[in-house]
Amino acid sequence: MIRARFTKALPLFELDVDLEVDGSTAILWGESGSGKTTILECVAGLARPDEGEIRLDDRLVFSSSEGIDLPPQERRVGYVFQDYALFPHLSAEGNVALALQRRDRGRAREYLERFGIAHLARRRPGLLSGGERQRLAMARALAVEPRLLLLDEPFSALDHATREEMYTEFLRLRERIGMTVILVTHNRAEAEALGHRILELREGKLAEERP
Amino acid sequence: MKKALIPLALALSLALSAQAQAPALARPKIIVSAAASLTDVLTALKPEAEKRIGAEILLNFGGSGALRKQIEEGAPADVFFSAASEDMDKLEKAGLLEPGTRRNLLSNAIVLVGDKSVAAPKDADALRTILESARLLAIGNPDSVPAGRYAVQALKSLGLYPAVEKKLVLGGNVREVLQYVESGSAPLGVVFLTDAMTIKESSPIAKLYQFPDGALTTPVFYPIAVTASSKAKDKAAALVKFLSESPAREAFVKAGFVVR
Amino acid sequence: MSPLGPILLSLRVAVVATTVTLVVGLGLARLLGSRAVPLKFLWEALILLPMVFPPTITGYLLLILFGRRGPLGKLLASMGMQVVFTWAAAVIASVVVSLPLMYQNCKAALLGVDGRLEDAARTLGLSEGRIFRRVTLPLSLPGILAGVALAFARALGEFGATLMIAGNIPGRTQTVPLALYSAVEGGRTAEANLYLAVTTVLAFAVVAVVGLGEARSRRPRRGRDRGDAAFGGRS
Repeated sequence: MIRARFTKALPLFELDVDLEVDGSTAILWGESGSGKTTILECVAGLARPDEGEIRLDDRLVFSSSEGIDLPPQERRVGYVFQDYALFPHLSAEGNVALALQRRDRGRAREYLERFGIAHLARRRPGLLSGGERQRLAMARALAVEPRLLLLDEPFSALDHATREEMYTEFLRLRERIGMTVILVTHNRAEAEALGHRILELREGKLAEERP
Repeated sequence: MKKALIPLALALSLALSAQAQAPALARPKIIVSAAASLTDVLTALKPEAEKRIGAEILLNFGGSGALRKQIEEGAPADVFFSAASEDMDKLEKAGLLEPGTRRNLLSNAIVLVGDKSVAAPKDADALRTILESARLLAIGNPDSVPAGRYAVQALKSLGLYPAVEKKLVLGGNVREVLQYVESGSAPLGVVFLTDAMTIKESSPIAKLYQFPDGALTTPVFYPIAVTASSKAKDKAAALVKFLSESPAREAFVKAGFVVR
Repeated sequence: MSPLGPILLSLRVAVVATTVTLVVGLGLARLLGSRAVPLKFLWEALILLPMVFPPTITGYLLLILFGRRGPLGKLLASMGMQVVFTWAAAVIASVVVSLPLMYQNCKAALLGVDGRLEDAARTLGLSEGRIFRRVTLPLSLPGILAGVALAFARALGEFGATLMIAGNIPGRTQTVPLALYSAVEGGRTAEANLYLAVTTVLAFAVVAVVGLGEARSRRPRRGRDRGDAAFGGRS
């Protein structure tokens, strides 16, 4: 569950966020440059709002009035970056294992299996296809058992066919993990296919679309 | 930062192992800061000197100016053997010398070197002619090289300086001066007699003329002294004594020095 | 005089100095590179200073610092130690002059790592120290190795500062550059040529070794499906 209310001044406008998502998938939809990524970064602790509050599962992770700003390491937020940010010098298994406490290769393997890429365990990200990389990024983000999953345009780098495939996978995954998800996209069709709720971000403000 | 500790530990252990060797040589030792021009002769005399004074001798060669600066900043030299009086004077004034130990051990002569084919000038006029007709004259930089300072003195006192003032090539040290002349970059050069003695038989250049002693307003002295901060003054003084007697004297003469 | 002495001494000094320079340079690059440090430009200027001074001046300043009257000299003396005219001074001189090179290379190498990767590691819960060791460092290795090569070469060739603070003491502080200089000064051409040859060989060796290391760490291991574990594990 996430409850976030904060503002942040950006070069062209001010971001004014008022967001509450509990167990469902919220899509942040907007044009490029509208600040979608910044919102995710603030939630994850990679960027700092100017003012406001962010609450994850009743834990206050950020509060400008109380001077709280937990580092990303302590927020338990899973983040799938736009270009996946996979560690190029580690194998697929290594990427997942690094996140786990004791670099448990066994458990890393499990996660790879769950995402259907166990056969690629020893391969470096540079040798994986777009779809495989996406699955690896997901596996890695979920391996730390986060409370909240953030995805920044996770499908935009894929070709059309793969994308369709991934939508199905994502929906299936969502069923299984049942956690709060915030997904960012500029693709309208994608937003409609994947989200329970769609929040349009325009000029720094979020407007929920009534279904 | 754990990874940093391993190479650091390695470096420290290497350093310490080197230091650990020192106690094994618990012999007393003294450090002698000596002018570079004394390298060959002092290196040759070292074994005999060590036997005589009963201590290990570490020779530190360099330019007299640099050696003086080191002593001024408290470097642990026990003996200072300079190629110039000025440096010794400065130390004496600063109270860094052990009183009563300073001696003018050696002297040196200033000579003109040049191509063997040139006729050696026999007198002052011939010298003037040869200097006036030369394209360039190489000398040590008077600011930093004692031989250069003396060269200027000698030329001035013989009234030859105006003739060469505009065609001086300044070398950073005596070896450079010799190289300029040997390579033909400068037809003539002025160095110490001892430097000229290092010119090989096979070299195209040779000593052409030795400036008379009287030509120098301040005679060339190689003073030696024990430093005030020395922790082995008795050994240091013993070394000074050794160097002023035979067989050291003969060795110095053989190298071209004038022994007082 | 055996030429082996100066050669072994030079190698010992250069190895120790480069190790120290690596730790200090990498540490400083990390410290000053990451967040906003107050007066960062001042610290960087201080580190780069030896590059601007002629080595002899650097040596003179070191002499003032470590001499019996200097602040560090007095401190060491109170502990019964002194470094002037010892090979430790040669190491100090080499460290000071090669630090700017190492620092610049490390700084560039660390900055060259994609910040997103470090961010990703943060969201995965890795501590900053672990991120540095397992993500930043491995990815900046080529640049760091280049810094090591430069620093080592610089330490091997160090002359002016070493002369001032370590002295030119054959058998104790006379490294190859000093021995070369002495041989040239004394007209001992054969000896000088030998040192020249040795220096050239060492320079080529350093460049070759590091060049190989760089190439290997850059090249991604293509399509090796054989287990990482067989190669000693990669995580």
